[in-house]
Amino acid sequence: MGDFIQLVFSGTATGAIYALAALGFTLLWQAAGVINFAQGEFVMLPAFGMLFFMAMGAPLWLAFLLTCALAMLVLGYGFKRVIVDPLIKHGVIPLVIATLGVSIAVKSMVRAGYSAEAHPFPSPFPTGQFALAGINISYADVGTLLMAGLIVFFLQSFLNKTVTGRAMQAVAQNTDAAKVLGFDVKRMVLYVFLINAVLAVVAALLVTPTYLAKFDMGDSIGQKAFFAAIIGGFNQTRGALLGGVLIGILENVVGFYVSPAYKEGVALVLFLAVILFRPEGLLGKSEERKV
Amino acid sequence: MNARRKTLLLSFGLVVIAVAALFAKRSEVYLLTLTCVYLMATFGLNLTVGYAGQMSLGQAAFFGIGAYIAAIAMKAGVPFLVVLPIAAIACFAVGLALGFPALRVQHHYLAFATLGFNVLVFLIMRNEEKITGGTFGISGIPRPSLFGHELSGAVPFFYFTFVSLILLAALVWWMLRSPWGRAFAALRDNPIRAESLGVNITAYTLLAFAIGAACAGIGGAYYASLVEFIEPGPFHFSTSLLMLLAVIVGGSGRFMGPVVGTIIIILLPEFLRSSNVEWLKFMQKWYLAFFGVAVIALMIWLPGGILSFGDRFKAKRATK
Amino acid sequence: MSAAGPTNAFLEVKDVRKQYGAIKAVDGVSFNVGTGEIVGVIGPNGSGKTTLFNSILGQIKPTSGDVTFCDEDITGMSPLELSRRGVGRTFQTLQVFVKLSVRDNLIAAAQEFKGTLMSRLLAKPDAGLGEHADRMIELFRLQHVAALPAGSLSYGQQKLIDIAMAFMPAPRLVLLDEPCAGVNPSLVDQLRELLVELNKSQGGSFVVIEHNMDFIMKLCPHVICMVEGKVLSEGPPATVQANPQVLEAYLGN
Repeated sequence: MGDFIQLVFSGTATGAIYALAALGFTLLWQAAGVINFAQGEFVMLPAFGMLFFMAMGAPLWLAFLLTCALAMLVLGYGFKRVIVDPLIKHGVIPLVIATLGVSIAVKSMVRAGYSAEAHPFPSPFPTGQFALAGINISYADVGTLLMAGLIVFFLQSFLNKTVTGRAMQAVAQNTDAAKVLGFDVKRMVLYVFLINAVLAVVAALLVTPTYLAKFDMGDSIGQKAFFAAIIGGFNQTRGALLGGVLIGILENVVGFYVSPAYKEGVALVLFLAVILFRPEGLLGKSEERKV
Repeated sequence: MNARRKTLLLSFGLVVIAVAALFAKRSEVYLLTLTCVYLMATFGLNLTVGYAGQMSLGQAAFFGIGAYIAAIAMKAGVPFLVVLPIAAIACFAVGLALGFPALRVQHHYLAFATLGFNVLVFLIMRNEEKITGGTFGISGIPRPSLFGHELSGAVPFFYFTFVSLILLAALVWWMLRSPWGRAFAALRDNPIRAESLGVNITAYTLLAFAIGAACAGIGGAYYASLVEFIEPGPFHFSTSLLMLLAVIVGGSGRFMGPVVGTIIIILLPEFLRSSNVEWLKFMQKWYLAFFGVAVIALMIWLPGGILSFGDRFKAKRATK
Repeated sequence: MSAAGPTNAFLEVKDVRKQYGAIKAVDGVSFNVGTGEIVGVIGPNGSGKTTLFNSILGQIKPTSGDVTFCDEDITGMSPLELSRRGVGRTFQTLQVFVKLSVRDNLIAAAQEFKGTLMSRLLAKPDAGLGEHADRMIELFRLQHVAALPAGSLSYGQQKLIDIAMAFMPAPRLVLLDEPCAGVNPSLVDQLRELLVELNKSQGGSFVVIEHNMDFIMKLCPHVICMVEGKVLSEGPPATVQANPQVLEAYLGN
């Protein structure tokens, strides 16, 4: 039983990281109609960004803040202005293709221009574990859960309790109506891109210590973020959280009780099951026939 | 250019390629054959993406299924010409099975389902060692035999593949000229109007997708025979992405679009890699980076793909 | 029982309602359309006319109410199923196949009703509808642009194509949503004559939403006026036009 709780706990921590990436992904889809196939790379780049700042002498916390700023500029504002805005009028497919192009370009640029190797990354949390009621809990897991939890809490508060946040929700739910009602849709959408950039940097901070910084680290994260978002329900932000955590927990449980080889398949199987039997996602609402 | 001129030019081009193969190096002929093989898959993908307006992220999976079916069957002694229809029908059926539940919901779910499908198929290929040989793959795949002669030479196999490609393309062309082609175009242009005019968009989308999958399966069978050793690597999801990009970059929905795109993704990197010019060799490392950027730029300036440039040009001239 | 509606009801709309939360877009509309009849639907913007059409034609599901066509309950049927029963429509916004030629647009509009899926694969490229399409092109006077892509033509021409497409499969019932919108005034009369001609030659029933009063009054022997989701007045054009409540509904806005 103790094993099980440990697995669930650390699975929730890992899942929280997927959830952050999935959350940004879902927000982008809802508010801007963008399916960002480069989401994994949006996590990979800040990992290398932080390494870069640290190589220049900055401590981790400073590197993190600087990378957040840089990410908001490039992955938030830059991505929106340069790629999304010119393409959104051509429909979903050209935009998806462009994000695929971004994914490929960025991966190869890092690989060819910087390094094809895996680089270690310092953990923001102290190493080691402590015992609580007979279960071993790592500081890293606690730290991850706390940090992810705080971010999500702030984000939800922002979205639900502030005027801007509620405006963003209105835009996400019905962009045309929001425009007619006078919301500054462009600004709201920009905020979503900025939020996604920050979520990606946080995810990078939390995941890279374990998985190491490598040009293709985005593949697995991006895929899991995508699966998590769909599993939870693409039209619900809470769905991204549920999907991420569910994947994290089940991966651990299956990896331990069944076989480590099947760990990879968990997210995939969940995804396929949802697509086939409950396509709107676990928390999603069934969409009315599109006119 | 009118249709007659286009046909003449095309025929001339085909003859040039056929003759050039006689004088090319072995490795070059291999590359040409590889391009033909991938073209079978990308022609099929163009049907799904360009003509039915769906996004498929799993073409490499069907390519792989065709390849593994061919590998296993041919090693068991089944003749290639029997393996071909089996691979095609198997992929067609799997395409229908995959598309049917996905399309019942909303049409962009087909993209998601194909992505998941590719990941699943790749995992199975890698793990089911007893059937697929796992990461060790299947080696010693024979070449097809025609009238008792095994096509083990590079040039004879190239001609066999080349002619097959032309036949496949001709079949697709014929299908697109029939009322089916018009239904596909209607469904891509305006699915709402199409539906109120009796076009069963689910049926036609499924058809386009399943036929596209069958084409990939056929290509996979030729691929297995060409490379004589297969392993899961080439059938990874990333190959599906490359194939998709090839179709889009060339010009989705244009018949010759896949040709342009496939040449870029197959021949260009090889050309860079094997070049004697130093800086071109260096470019090979950066080829993908440039390709990625080029895709972005293309989407912004020429979302219709390279072959849509002609339309832009005509439109500009018309407004003068 | 409506004031002067036909008794051999080809299309029966019974108490259809469509609610979006608290908003009652269509609030209990009933009317009948007879075989070969042309009925006009007028009303100020936002009165629910297009929502009513969409509810009848399967684009959206009505909250309650029934729609019967030729004694068959067609409430909530999909556009595809309706097209198979000979029900067609045009849309408020242009909906043509922009990349196809005019001729191909027309053929596409009717080809799915010929034969089976497989027989269509093996049929001639024009699905045997070439002549029919050519006749329709002549009727709509589009001969000189027949081979051009529909998207390259003027708004008025595309509108004609849009309408011609709806009539290609010789539907028994057509709902036309603002056929005159954005059309040159000189073309409006031609359009009206075309509709009269098609009504005679094909024998279908039409329901026409339109704001152009002159057009409606000349075309439709029976007119329905909708205001705020309800039927305000119904009857011959002169009667409806003279109804003071109708005048107020238009002027009051």
